[in-house]
Amino acid sequence: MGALDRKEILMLHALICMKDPAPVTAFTAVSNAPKILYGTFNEQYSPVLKYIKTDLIRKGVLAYCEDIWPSSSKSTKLERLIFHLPPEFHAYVPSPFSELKKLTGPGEISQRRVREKLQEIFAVVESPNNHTLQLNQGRFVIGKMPFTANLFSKWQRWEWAWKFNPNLENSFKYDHPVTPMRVLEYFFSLLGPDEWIKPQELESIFTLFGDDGKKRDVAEIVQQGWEMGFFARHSLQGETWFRNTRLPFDIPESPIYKEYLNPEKKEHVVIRLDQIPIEALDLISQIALFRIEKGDLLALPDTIRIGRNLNLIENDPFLSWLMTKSTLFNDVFQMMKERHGHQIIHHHLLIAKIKQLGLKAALEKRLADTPVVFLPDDYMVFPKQLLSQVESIVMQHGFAVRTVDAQPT
Amino acid sequence: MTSSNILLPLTPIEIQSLEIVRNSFNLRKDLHTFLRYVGEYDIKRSVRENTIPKGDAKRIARLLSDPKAKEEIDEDGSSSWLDFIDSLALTLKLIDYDTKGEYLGYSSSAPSYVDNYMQLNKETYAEFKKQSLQHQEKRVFQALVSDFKDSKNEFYTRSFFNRLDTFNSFGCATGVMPNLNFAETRHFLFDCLKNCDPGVWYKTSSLIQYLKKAHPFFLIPKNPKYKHYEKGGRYGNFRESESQLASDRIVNEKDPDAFERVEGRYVERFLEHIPLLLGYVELAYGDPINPGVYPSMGKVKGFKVTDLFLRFMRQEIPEPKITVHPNHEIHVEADFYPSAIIDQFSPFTDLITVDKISIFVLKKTKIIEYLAADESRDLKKLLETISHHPLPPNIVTELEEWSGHSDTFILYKNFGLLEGRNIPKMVEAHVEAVIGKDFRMIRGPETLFATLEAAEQAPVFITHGPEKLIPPPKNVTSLLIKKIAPPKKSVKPEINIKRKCYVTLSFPTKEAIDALTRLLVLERCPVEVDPKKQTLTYNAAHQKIVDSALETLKKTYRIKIEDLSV
Repeated sequence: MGALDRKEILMLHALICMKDPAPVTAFTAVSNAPKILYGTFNEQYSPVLKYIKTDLIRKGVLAYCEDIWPSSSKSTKLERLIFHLPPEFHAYVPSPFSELKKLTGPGEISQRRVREKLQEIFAVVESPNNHTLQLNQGRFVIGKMPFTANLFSKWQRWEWAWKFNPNLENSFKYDHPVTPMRVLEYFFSLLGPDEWIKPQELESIFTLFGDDGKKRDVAEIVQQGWEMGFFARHSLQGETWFRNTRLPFDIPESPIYKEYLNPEKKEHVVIRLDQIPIEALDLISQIALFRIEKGDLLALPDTIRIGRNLNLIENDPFLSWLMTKSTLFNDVFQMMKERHGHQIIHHHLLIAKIKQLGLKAALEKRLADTPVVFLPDDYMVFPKQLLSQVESIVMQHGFAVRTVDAQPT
Repeated sequence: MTSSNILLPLTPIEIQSLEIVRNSFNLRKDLHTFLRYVGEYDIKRSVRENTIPKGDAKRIARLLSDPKAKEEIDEDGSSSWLDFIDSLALTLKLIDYDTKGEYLGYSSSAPSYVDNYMQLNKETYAEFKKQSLQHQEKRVFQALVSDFKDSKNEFYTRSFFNRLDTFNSFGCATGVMPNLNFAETRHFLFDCLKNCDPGVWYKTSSLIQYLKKAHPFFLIPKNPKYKHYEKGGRYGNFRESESQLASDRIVNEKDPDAFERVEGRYVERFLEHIPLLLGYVELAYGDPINPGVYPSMGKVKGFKVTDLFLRFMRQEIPEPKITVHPNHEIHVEADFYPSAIIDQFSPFTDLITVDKISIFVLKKTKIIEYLAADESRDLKKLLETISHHPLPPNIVTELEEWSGHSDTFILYKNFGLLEGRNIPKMVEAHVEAVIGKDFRMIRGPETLFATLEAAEQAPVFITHGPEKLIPPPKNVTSLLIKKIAPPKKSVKPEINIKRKCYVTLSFPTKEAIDALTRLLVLERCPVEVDPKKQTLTYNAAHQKIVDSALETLKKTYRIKIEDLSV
């Protein structure tokens, strides 16, 4: 690995990033072979193959084989060859970055776009699309889907990707299943704690992939990523350094919940959309109904969903705190907790009635070691897969199984 | 002797020296057997010949009443009886398949039948089976009588029995032939035959003479219409010859025996076709009266109509008579194959024989399953309704008892189980059954769950696994799960292994092994000697005897015993 130059190191990272083995064409940029723009495939790429063999395969870095599921257009062996960095080597590939900065502190995280987005719920949108955030019968939705932090981060990603043309989710090339978004995710994930990079580090990586001739403004891409909350930035001596955030929206290590909402009113809880993290909003969405009143977003307990999420409330620090602070929510929580489990509906099992004592005794004896339960009034319940065993015992004793189906076809 | 009809003035005949032929195949049974097979299996007819493929043909042939059908298929690739049944089923529109085909290319000389699957017309067949036996027979009769398209008539087509040859079909599309209505002729002759005594063998020639005198134009009208070609007159289509393949001379209508040579031949062939096929007549064959002349004449010397035929013509075919016997047998007496009865009885009986009296046996296990499958079924009532006699008392008792057996184990599918303390009233609409104090069997568990949730009851919904019942979430106690018996710890079973040890001594010389063997035999010690390998094997329990013998052998040899490693 020590003998590899930076271009080759970047190439190896590119292979890891791609996940799937790469064809010989992927190595065009990294090889020093002259570019041949005419001739057959073999004529164009034989020099690249020679480079790969000499510089990578013989150094024991790359593995290769013939693709067993090639596309029908791949008629020559060279077209079918694929190259792969064994997973065992991934940890040993040197860092792709020429310059790293160690800086403590979270850096500057942009909240502007996220907060603007959350304000959408106050607007009246005539033609909502799949990404419109709104209230629907008291529930947060994005498009038609229930609001979750995950869905929100998908919006963030989509919004960021589509700022550019071609957008960041379009593959670099048709035979590279890699998008600029994937490259950014991968390379930023290589950063250690407190490690920061300049956007220029990514230019050579994009060049390595971007043989489609489209020059991308990497600095602008990273800057927009920061706007959308994916990166944190640190300005230092006229230079700006970036790293990824732990989540699309960082949660502070010591959250101050009272900054997220005001639980003091008896009739409702006021949500502070300018402060509340998306994850916290996700959590409260799972137990509350919302309404807008005089420009405020109010949350009220949703009895049914509180009943469904009792464990979540008990185990999540934010929701547990809310219960201690809001009598309104806590009363509902306690009521549902008290009622929980009083009615249990068992589903996806079989129930049978046995009208003959001898048959019942035989069933009890033969099914003693199975998960069959005998209930009062000559009933029994059992898992579906035991049916054939039960039927067999019934028929051996000279009886037949009469079936009553709640859902007759 | 029929009382209401006037018998035809025909002459009886002695049949001792003649060969009697009757149709021994059960056409009606074979028709239903064939239809059942077509309904159960996908049969794709061959592309070129449009025939049933050999595999299927053999399988069907095994089920038919023609014992030689399978043999024919092995030798010739087809069976004429099966082909006939196939054709009859198609004519009755009980099955469907393409008979026209398509020419696949410019150079095709014959049509091809690609993907030509045989379809059973289930509704038509079901409707056919529902009809009375009289009506079913009438449909078969009509289908055969009305079928004379494409020279399919007695003059030009050999019957299934194939004993009588045919006229040469040269010119059959011209002259009187295209305008002859064979259906009418056949109906007329059947009407004549119904005026015969069923117990009597009649001379065929007497029937022909009767027709000549009383109905000379029963086949060819007095003033027939001609198509394209009038030369030769009314018998211009009919040629005789001294050679089977030739067609030398037209029958001259002015000849005194012209009627016998044309209509007479027709009558013989008529008798050999539909009447013999349907079992309406029996025929007596002898030598032709004009040997050396084709087609033959006078081979069918005599005929006899059957009772079955007369019952059919008088529309007196009775419905099957059903009798239930105390020995669990059900006897079904029917003139024809009682397909509807067989279908009706198959779920709860075994069919033993099929004949004029078919025998079924009531089977307890089948009855219990039959009744369990549908609680509205009442087998006792069904048998009481259709049986000609009251049911034997023991059968009544047993049916009642077996009916109880069918109701002993009831399986409830797609129901849920509600478990709870103080079960609220709102669930009542969903309750199918109350099980003790704490359980209810319910319909629509998901709907009930939503109802309970909406009523702020905080219900728990457990979807159990296919193999085991899933415990409830933490902090929730379920009586159902508590009731599951813990699996018994498996106790290791004890097994007694018996061991026998054997010792094998390997000797360098034959003399040494023989010497030891003799000593051991004298001591009555059982040994096994392999002369080729020069080894001697004995049970280790006899070690002391062997040691003693070896000591004796030491008088003759210096012995060193070496233990071999494995």
